[in-house]
Amino acid sequence: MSRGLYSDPFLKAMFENEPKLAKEFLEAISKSEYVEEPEIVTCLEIPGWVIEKAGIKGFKNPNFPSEVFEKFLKEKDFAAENFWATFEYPNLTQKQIDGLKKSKDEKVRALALAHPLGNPSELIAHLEQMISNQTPYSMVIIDISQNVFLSDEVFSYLLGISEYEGSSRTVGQAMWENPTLSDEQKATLVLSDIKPKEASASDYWSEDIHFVSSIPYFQSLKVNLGHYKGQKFGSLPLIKESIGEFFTRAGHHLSVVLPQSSQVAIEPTLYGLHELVSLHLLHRLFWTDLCQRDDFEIYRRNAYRVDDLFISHPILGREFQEADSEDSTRLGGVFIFFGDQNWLVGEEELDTNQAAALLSSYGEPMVDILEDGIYDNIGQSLIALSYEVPEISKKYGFEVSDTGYDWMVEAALEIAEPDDFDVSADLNPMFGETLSWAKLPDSKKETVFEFLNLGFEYKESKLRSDSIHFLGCMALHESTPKSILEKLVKLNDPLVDEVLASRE
Amino acid sequence: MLVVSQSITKVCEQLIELKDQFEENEDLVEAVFGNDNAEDLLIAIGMAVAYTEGAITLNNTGESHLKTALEELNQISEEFAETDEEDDDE
Repeated sequence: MSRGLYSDPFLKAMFENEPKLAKEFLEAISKSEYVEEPEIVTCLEIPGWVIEKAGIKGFKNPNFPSEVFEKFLKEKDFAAENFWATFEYPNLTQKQIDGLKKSKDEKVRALALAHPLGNPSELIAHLEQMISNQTPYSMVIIDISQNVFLSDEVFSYLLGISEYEGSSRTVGQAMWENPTLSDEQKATLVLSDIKPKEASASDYWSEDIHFVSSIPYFQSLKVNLGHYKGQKFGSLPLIKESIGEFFTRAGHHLSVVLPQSSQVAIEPTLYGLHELVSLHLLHRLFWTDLCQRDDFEIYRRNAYRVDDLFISHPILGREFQEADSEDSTRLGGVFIFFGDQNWLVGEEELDTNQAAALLSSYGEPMVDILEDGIYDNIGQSLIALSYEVPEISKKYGFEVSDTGYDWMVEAALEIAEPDDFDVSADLNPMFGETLSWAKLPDSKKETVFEFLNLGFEYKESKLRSDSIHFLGCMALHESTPKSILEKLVKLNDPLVDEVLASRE
Repeated sequence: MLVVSQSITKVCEQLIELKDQFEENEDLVEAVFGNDNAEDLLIAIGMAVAYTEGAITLNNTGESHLKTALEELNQISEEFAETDEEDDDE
């Protein structure tokens, strides 16, 4: 899911009803490193005096002050060194494009010619030259194919070079992703046997979607934004409570998980649902309660380059349990455990078996264990070998002491890979969780259902799988009102139906 | 060299000293690894390190193995040193 420029209805409402409060809120953001974050620089309600503070990252916003942009553009080699950012600016003038068309830099010239104020005929000649010169900037040609409005002339030319490759896709595949393509152009691609690139797992790797108006909730709900975003978030001062309260009164989607009753209807949206899921607010809302059941617990599973977090439950956890561990993140409700999710606590332990296997290469002779020329762990390797091949200690006349195995494990920790560890996770008892499905007023439970129903309808997406998981949690939870249980029946989803049947 | 009367602690120290030479002396490593009893010798060094760390205890068989291994390793080391000297003379 990707979102370009967007309008934040809650911030807009604040500007209309509480302009002083809005200014205070944005002043706090403008003084922090967080001002460069995607949800700030792509928000149409953010005024120029705030966007300006984001520097070149703010170029994509039409409110970025034109005089400041002009100053940047006049700097020597600025466009060549910042070509993507330069052409993101939506208010480029004819004069600026004419100037950029004359650039000595081939990529800047290509992007200027491809601009709506550029020159399609000259663009074709320029692209031909770039290709014949084996340009290192093939990604510029791919970008043009993918994002720029393609006149019939340019389309025909690109069709002729559809096999040209860059940025791990061909021109033909990139054209398929061009949102400006006409039906005729799409038909031509089909007839030319040019196929779109196979869908990747991008659904859960793409950037998370947030709103400026969500920021007060990030603080009050102690959400985890990941390492890099979290660091920038840390530079924000504490946002006044009245700002969050205003957004809650305006029906902010994140307020749906708060135990207080809502005064206005909260409108379910896909972006709102996406944010609720990506911040793990629905995970917390349901799992915290459900973990009190005997048959439901947090379950962390690792494998080669995999560290997934989900739950174990006879029905809701079955698909994860049975799935290939390398491909489980696509399943609803599953996410990658990074260890910095503050509502969880994780433990990693290297058990004696695994340590012995690692240090002795599963019981190989010492001459083989030491063939890499590293003798630092020779003593621990001997203990490991005697663990794997117990006859050795009798043959050579020694016995491992009480501390011997600990000493061996300590050495193995230095060479162990993440997937060598036994991992576990649980809810963090020190987190002070405030979210609870049981404590949510019935009206809000209905709204959460509406959010999830929206995701349920969003076919073939991770969001749909996530929604089904939480609808399943809803079906399992004892505090789910009868009216919602009846709606759950009508979904006719096999997983939800099985959970509902298990209630009886 | 007479090692039978040496204390086991001393034997271990000498075995560890030999192990420490491994990192600087590739030819010695080759000589040890190429020996018919290489496995026994490396296990003895491992035992010496583990014993010194208090990670294992030794019975008579163990002590005797360490002493025999030290004797053999010293022999390899001496032969190796002699060969080295001869090479230098040439």
